[in-house]
Amino acid sequence: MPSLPEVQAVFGGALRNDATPGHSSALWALFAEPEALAERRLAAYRRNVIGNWRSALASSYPVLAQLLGAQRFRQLADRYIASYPSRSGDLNAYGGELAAWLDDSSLSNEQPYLPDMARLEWALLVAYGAADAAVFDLAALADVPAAVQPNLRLHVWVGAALIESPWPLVDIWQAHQLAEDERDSALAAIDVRSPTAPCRALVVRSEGRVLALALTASAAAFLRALQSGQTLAEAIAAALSVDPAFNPGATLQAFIAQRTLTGFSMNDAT
Amino acid sequence: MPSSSAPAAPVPSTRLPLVAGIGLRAPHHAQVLAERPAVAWWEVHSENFFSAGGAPIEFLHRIRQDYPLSLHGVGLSLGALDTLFEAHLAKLAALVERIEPVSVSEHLCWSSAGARHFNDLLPLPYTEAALEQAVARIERVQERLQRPILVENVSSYLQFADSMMSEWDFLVAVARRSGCGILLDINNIYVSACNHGFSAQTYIDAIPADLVGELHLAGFEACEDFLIDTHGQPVHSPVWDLYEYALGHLGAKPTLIEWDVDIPSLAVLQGEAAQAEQRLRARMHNVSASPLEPGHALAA
Repeated sequence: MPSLPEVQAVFGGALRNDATPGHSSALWALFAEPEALAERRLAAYRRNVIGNWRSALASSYPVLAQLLGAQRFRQLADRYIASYPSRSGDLNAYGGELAAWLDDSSLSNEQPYLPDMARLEWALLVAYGAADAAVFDLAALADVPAAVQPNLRLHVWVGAALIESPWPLVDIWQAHQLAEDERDSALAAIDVRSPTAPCRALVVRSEGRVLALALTASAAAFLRALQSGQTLAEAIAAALSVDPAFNPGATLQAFIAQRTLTGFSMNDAT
Repeated sequence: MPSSSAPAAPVPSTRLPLVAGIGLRAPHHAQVLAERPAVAWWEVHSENFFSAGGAPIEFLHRIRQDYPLSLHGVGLSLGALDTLFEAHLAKLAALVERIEPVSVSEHLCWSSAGARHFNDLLPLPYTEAALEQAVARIERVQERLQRPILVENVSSYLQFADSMMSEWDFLVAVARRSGCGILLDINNIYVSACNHGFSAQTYIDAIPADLVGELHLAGFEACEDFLIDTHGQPVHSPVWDLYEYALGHLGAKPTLIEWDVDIPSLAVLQGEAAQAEQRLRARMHNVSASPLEPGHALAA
C-alpha cells in the first residue's frame, strides 16, 4: 500500500504528463476503477489542470495572446506548462517565468519582441496587486534644508517597474488596449519588427488601473539610479550624463504625481 | 468513527445569514459596486485577493462594508504534505485579518505534492493516514486564523483502491477530530454519487446537522459516461431535489449559488438564489409548523 505522499506523487505526475505505459502499473493500481475507465477519468482531471494553467497564462498575458493568435499562444502555453510546474496554490501567480523562458525559445525568432512584451505584461500584473503607494509628503520635502537635499534617497514605489527594450513596447502595448478595429490601424503604424529607438517602459498604477508609459533616456537613468539606492544628487548626475538638458524638477514632479515616488529618507549612510 | 474518540471542540454556528448568497466573480465586480444589488451575502475565492494592495483589496473592503462576506479558498491543499502550505496559509491569514470575513472555508482535498501545485481539487484516499494529515492541517489553519473554518466535500471522478471508509464517514471524522465545520456541496455529492454509484441520500443522512455551516449549489456537465463539476450551468433539477432532501435532514442552512465558467448576468444568478431562497423559506415554515425533528420530518 503506497504512502499518501507516494499516491500524490504518482497521481500528480500523471496529471502533468500523458499516461504513458511506463508508469502505468503504479498509477493504475491506485484506483478502484478498472484501468480503461480510470484512464478516461484521469484524462478529465488532466484536461482540467492543463486548462486552468492555460487560462491563467492567457489572462496574465493578453497582449502576447493577441500578438501570437489563439492557436500559437496555446502552443506556447503548453510548452511552458510542460517545463514549468506551478509553485503556488494561487493560480494568479502562475507564469512569472514566461519572459525568461521566451528569451531562450525559438518562438521568439520570428517575433523577437515577445520576451520583452512578456516582461512588461508580468510587471503590469505585479503592479496591479502591489502594496498601495504612500502619498509623497511634499511639505516635508520643502522643509529639508537645501544643503541636505542632494543627499536624500527617494523611495520608488514597490510596484513600479522600468523595462528597457530595443522594441517599441509601449506603442505595441498601447495599441492593444484599443478596440479591435482601431487596434489594427494603430499596429500598422508601428514597425514592430525592427528595433527602433530604444524604448523605456515605466509601469505605473493610477486609481487601481495599471499602465505602461514611455520614459525619456534621461528620466529612465534617473529612476534606475534611485531604484538602486543612489542619492538624489547621484541620480541627477546619472541623468545629466545621458542628456545635459535633463530637468530634475519637472521629472521629480511627474514621478511624484504618478506615485512612482512615494517618499524620501535622509542619507544616514557614512 | 468510534463514538469514544476525543470530543471535538463545539463548532460555533456560522455567522452567515440563513439565506441564499451568491459567489461573486470578477465580471460582476463593477456592477455590484455601482448598483449594490439586493443579494444577502457574497462568497469570493480567497486567492483572488492575496495581493498586497490595489484594486482587488480595495474592492473587497468596499463589499465588506455593505454585505456579509465569506472567503472560500481553493489552494491550501489540506490533504497534502507539500512545502507550499505555510506560505499560502500566511497569505490567507493576512487577508482574513484585513477583511474580517463572516466565514472562512476550504476544500477537503489535495492539490499539491512536494513543491508543485496542481491548482485543482483532487480527491483523497479515504485512509487513516489521509485523515490524520487533513486533521493536522485543518488544526494548523484554525490555530493560525484563530477561528474555526468550514471544509467542503469535493466532487470526484476517481476512487482509490486503498480507501478504507466512505467519503461521508471521512468527512464527518475530519470535522469531529479537527473541530471544523462542514460546507456541504450538494452538487458535488450528486456528481460523485453518479460517478461512483453510491446513494446521495445515504451520504446526506450520515452528516450530522450541527456540523454543517453552509451548503453549496452549482451546475455540472455530462462528459462521456460520467459527470464533471464544471460550475458552468444552472443548478440541475435532480440537484434541486437533493437540496430539498438535504434541507429536510439538516434544517435550513446558509446556501450559496456558485457559477465559475461562462458566467451569466447577475440577474440569472439572483434567479438561482431566489429558487434556493424559496426552498429555504419553505423549510423554515415547515419547521415552525411541525414539532418533528428534521430527520423525522423528512421520513414522514
